[in-house]
Amino acid sequence: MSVLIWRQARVAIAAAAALLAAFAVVIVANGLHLHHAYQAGLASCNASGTCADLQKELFHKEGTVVALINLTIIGPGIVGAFLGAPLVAREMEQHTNKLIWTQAVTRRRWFLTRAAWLGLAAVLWSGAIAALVTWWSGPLNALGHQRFWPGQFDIQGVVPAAYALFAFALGVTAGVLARRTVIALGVAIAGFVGIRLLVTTYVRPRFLPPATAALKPGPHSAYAKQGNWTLGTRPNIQGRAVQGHGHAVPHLSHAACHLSHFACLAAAGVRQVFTYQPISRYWTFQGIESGIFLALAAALIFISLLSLRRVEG
Amino acid sequence: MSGPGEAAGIAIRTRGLSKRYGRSWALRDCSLSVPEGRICALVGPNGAGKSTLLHLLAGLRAATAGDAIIFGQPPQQRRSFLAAVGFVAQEMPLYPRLTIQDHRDILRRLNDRWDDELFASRAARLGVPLSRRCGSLSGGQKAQVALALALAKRPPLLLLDEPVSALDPLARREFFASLSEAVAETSMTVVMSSHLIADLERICDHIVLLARAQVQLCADIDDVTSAHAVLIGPADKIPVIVRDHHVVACEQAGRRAKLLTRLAGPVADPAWSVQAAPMEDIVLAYMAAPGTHAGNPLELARAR
Repeated sequence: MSVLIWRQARVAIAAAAALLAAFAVVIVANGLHLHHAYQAGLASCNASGTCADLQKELFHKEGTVVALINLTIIGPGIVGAFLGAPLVAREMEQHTNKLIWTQAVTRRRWFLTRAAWLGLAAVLWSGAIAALVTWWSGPLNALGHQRFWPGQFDIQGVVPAAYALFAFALGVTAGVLARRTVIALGVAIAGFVGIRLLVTTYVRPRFLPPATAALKPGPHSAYAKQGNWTLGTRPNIQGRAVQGHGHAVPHLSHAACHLSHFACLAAAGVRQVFTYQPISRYWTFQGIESGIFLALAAALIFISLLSLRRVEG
Repeated sequence: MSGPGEAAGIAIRTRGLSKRYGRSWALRDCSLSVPEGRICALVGPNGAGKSTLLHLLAGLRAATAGDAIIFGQPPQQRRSFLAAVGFVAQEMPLYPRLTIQDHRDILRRLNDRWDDELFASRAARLGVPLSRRCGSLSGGQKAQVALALALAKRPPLLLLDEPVSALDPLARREFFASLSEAVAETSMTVVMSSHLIADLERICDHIVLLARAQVQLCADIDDVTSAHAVLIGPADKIPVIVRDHHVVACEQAGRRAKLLTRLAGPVADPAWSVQAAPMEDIVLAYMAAPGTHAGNPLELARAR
């Protein structure tokens, strides 16, 4: 069985492996340089107290590589869908299901073996890409880059592997139901993007009740450097929420107002209230999000297996 | 192979087997039996349900009603059943990007009873290197590879759906030659559908005739030919023949009539000349005749 899977998929697997290898070469070469520059920069900025600028200094000249890193967000969906959609649909299109389903192996075993190997390939590929991205982003993360923010959260850690398995399962299920590879591919990619956006926008912020912090008005550089995921900010005066515009600020203390605009507002009891998910929850969130997509993938594979029984060869 | 409750020596038995697609019946109330070791021709016009019947027997599709028993077990997702039935679909499905050798390696691992020598000897006679991709083979070569793969599985029952429809006459002859040779070496039962009655007559010894989604005839070919005759005689005496025998087809030219008849006994009236009916004429008569459903098709075999 594994022979069949390997020989059928060898072109796709070779292409994916080549792509991964090329990506690894670029990221490792650039990442080594970056890590080195980070260590050197850290030593000198600690001495001079200018570490706030180190992030800009390091990353703004890596524009192309940053673009490549951000592009990996489409990897799991594409790889998963392209491996999953043809799994049953291609067989139906070229009628080879009639060849393979009349050999001395049950449909169920054929399907599960194929799904296991190809699903594993999708997971390993996306996991490897994500591992490289996570490693490359190390200095960026250490400097308080927003790895918890949508866009970065989705390309680092373990979630990309879970996304790939979900896209794969979606492709397989669409293929079993539609019996056409192109349709299954379209449905899988559209469904994948839809569900991912839904989870990112509405579900992920609510995994755990957000924390709040009332900070004095100002640049908040200390807060920003922690890497928390800010869900929203609201001005608040003496504990009361500010509604709409043009709210009067009472009792301005002239003494503070001589110092700075921010100090003036702070003295008047104005606070900036941050609603956020603290960075300490990062791996919890990675785990919850992965769990959701793995559960969806398992449910889809189960549906495929049930539908496959009724597929008329 | 056959269980204690099952008649020994029966490869296929179906009872009321029916298949409906949407609102139309592709196969209706099909009851037939094929004894073990027969090469059975499955004939009928387009859309008669031949392909549907073969797919039901191969376990690729599920029946709407009725049942089928193949060597004692219904079509099911069990290795014992899947190993007992070989199927070559009309499309001659092979993986276009894989080589002949790839197919051999894959199917060898999927079938416990795989006969690799048999495959090797058949493939060698093809005159095509095993490293050729199946997508680049001609129709005849594909058919031969598909047949070799099905034979090397060593199934007790081999189902072939229109195996020669896409082949030229020479490739067709070679296909039949290699099939009959393989069947002679084993005790395989074969059911083969085709339009080409003359070809089938050469190698088949049993016939199942489907028309209008129902079984019109199911018997050994020798029994069919000896039970039917062409009667030529006066048109005004047709009612007598119709009363005593079953007239399948009737041609009238002036006062002379030519009746293709299934005889219920000897024709006593000397006004009728009795001639042997060619198999092809019998088959075509049953295909064309409206509503000549033979009732229980096994009747013919039992009457003898």
